[in-house]
Amino acid sequence: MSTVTQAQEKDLEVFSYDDKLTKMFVIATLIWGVIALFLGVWIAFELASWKLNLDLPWFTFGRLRPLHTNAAIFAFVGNAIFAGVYYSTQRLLKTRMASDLLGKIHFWGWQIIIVGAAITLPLGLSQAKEYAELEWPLDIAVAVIWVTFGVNFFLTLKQRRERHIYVAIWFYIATILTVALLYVVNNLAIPVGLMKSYSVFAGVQDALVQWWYGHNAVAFFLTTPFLGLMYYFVPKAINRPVYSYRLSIIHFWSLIFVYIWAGPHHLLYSTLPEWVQTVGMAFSIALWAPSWGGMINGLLTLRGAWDRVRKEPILKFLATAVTFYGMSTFEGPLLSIKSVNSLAHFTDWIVGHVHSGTIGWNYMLTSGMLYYMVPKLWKTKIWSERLANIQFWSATIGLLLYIMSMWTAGITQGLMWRAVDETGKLVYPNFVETVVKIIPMYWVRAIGGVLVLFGFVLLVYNVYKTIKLAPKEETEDEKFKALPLSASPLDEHGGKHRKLEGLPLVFSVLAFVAILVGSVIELVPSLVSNQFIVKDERVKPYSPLEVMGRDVYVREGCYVCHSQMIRPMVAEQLRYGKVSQAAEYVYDRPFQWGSRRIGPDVHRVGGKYNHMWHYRHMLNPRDVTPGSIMPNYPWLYKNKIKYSVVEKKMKVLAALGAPYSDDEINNSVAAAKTQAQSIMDELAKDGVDAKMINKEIIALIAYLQRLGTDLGGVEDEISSAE
Amino acid sequence: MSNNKRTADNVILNEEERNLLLDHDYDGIEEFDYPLPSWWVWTFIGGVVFAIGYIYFYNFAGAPTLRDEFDQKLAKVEAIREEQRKLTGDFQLAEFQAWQKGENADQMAAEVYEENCLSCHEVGGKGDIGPNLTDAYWLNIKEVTPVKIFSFIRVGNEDNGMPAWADMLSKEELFAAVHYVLSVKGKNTPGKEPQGEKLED
Repeated sequence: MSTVTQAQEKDLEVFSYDDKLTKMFVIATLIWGVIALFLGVWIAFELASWKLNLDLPWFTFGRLRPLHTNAAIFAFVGNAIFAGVYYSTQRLLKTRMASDLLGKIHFWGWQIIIVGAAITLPLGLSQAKEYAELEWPLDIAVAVIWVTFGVNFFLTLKQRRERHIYVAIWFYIATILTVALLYVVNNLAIPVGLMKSYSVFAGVQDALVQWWYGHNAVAFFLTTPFLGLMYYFVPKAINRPVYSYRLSIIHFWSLIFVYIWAGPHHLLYSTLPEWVQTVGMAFSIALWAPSWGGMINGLLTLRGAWDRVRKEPILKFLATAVTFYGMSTFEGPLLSIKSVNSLAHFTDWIVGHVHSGTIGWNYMLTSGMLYYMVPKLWKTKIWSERLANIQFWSATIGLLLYIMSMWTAGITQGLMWRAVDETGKLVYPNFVETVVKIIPMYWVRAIGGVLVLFGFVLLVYNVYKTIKLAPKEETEDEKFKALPLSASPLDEHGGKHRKLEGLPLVFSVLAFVAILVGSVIELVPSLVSNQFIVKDERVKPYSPLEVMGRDVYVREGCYVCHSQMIRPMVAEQLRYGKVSQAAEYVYDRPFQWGSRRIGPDVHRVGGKYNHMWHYRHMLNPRDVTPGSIMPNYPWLYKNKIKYSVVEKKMKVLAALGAPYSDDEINNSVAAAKTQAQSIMDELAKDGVDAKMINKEIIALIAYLQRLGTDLGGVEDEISSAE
Repeated sequence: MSNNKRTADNVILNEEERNLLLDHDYDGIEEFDYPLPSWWVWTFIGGVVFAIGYIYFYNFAGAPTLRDEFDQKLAKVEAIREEQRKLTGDFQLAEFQAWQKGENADQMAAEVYEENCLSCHEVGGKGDIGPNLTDAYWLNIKEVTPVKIFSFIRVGNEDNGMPAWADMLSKEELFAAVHYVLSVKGKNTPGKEPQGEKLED
């Protein structure tokens, strides 16, 4: 290597960074961070005290929980990713972003989408698929804006002045390509209105596609971009070289290749074909080492400077983030083991696991990154290190309270659900007993959440003060000099991978192939094989009124608390009825299997109670289940059934494969009204006003009474004592 | 390998590290090339070997499916439950009456009622979602005797929304429920309108 000679001096190109864009994303991260965390705290208190649902549709847990998850993932973490990616990419590639305009479109487009989400989700405009709740117009906007980001990123790669791309850039490439694929495929749907659509996938297929997406939203939105950020900000903050280049290579490729396979571990014991479950679990175990490769590289980069980690808040945040990354990527494979999963799935253990990732890894790394970036961007010093330290301890203690309360709650409830005594009876046959038991843990969790939120508010205040006291902004961007790309030769001695790092396009193609392999092998058979769409003649499509009722179920986010999947376990069959079968879901668009049982499974609730029970229950669940924490749904008794859209919905469902005849579609309104009348007749006997016939509650009752009845016949009736 | 191109001012601990330092520099970030920690390599290999073995065992080597395992366990529990059903199904009036004379009968009856029946039959059996238990009208039985009430509670009536309580309550708890029904019978508490046939005066 040689110094820049005088001959080269004249070739130096002058450029600047588009840090304005980074600053905008920093501010957005702070604003949405407060909102996302506040929503989390609010809904945590809703579980501790149901009255906080306020008897208002926009405030119920079922609608706000999707808003919390979407805000946390896409608004808070999303903006943090963009801030960090724009900041580091320009510096790692020694170039300004290719287009300031595309950057601005990306920024404003993304914020408008978030505002759209904040308006539509509380209104119940939802696809009812986790972290993919946004309806189709917003989905299209997300795809367009994401591609805008991607185009700007790849154009920037093209105009780089650094021949080889650094490991952070590898992770950004994998993120951009994979998220685009995941998002587009999982949101394929046919619109039936401006804000309503039906998934092109149904039942088991829909579940598989959704959890391929859902799991990899964790992988490629919450993990890979953050590993990229870690690889930039950790060595920068500590001034130490990255521990091991070869570890970077091996863990990068193994991580992206293996991660994409692991989605089915969200569907263990479901009606997903068992080979897919087995593969999903096996790859989840194999994922442990690749994940820990990142942790090792992060922690060992900090090695030799631990004394500074004790003192400097930035390093505390970064070291804690990497540690929690290690913890949750160990817990993940553990939870994927079928026998562990049988206990933990549907419980709060999973909720705790997710938050040790999102708070422990994303929140902590974001905080460290902001404390590093903000003083540099605004050319000043952080206003208060003390405040940063207080935030660190507040967030850490809050997080520990969160995780430990959720472990306790999850394991307690899981054990209660499965307890069967020596006479073959459930020890806790009333589901609500298992809910009441863990409510103290809900309080602890909510308090933990408050501490995490409090810490973030301190960060916001600290940044606000820092910016306010910063010197006045210069009108001109700071100038940097570097030689053009042509002066940066391909490293001939560095081995094959080194050469690949000099060819970003080839690198990108290979990364895309790596994530396609698992996707294709797991998804394609499900789309072409009958194994996934088991037909059973006894399973009939929903009646028009049931379709309307199901859409109420979807709108209210019932899936957030109720599963529709009775797993092949003795205790489940005793508690909920006959184990679920794949054929029962073929007309479910979207599938509504759920991921958490805050309330009981409802797959076989059809016929379990009379209409009056449901009528009372939805109005005030505590009337029929003392101790229930479910919200009241008084608006279902005021809103009218929208008969005007019944036919349109039937047509779209028919186009997607539901075997409705033309007659059935043309007469769907009349059929719905007839069914409503028969439900009303029975309710009237119990004293309900006949005027209720056109209210949404009637449609919901129709759907609930249908659930699981096609194949749900109880096999062995109890013989009479006489 | 040190050179003067570097812009980085990274902390290098010792000579061994210096030898492991690569000629990479990205915005001042350098990279060591430490060998992979051996425990990590073995974890990695272990994970892959496990995955291959696991997939082979469950998909190709004829291991029992989740469904098989479930069927076996269910058969065992069903056998136990069948025994229990025979036990609870055998209602002897004398046994019931003896139980009624026990010390805790009233208290247990109240507890069982509150936990299981109250939500539909309301306070004191005045009825709401389920029928009024205090009037002279009966919907599901033709004869108001302990054995008939007992049998009906055990078996239930799916169509009316009355669960089969034999699956959830022990024989003693069923006794308690019958005891409660008998204790409110005839009180004519105002509540739900009469349903079914008039069987008593």
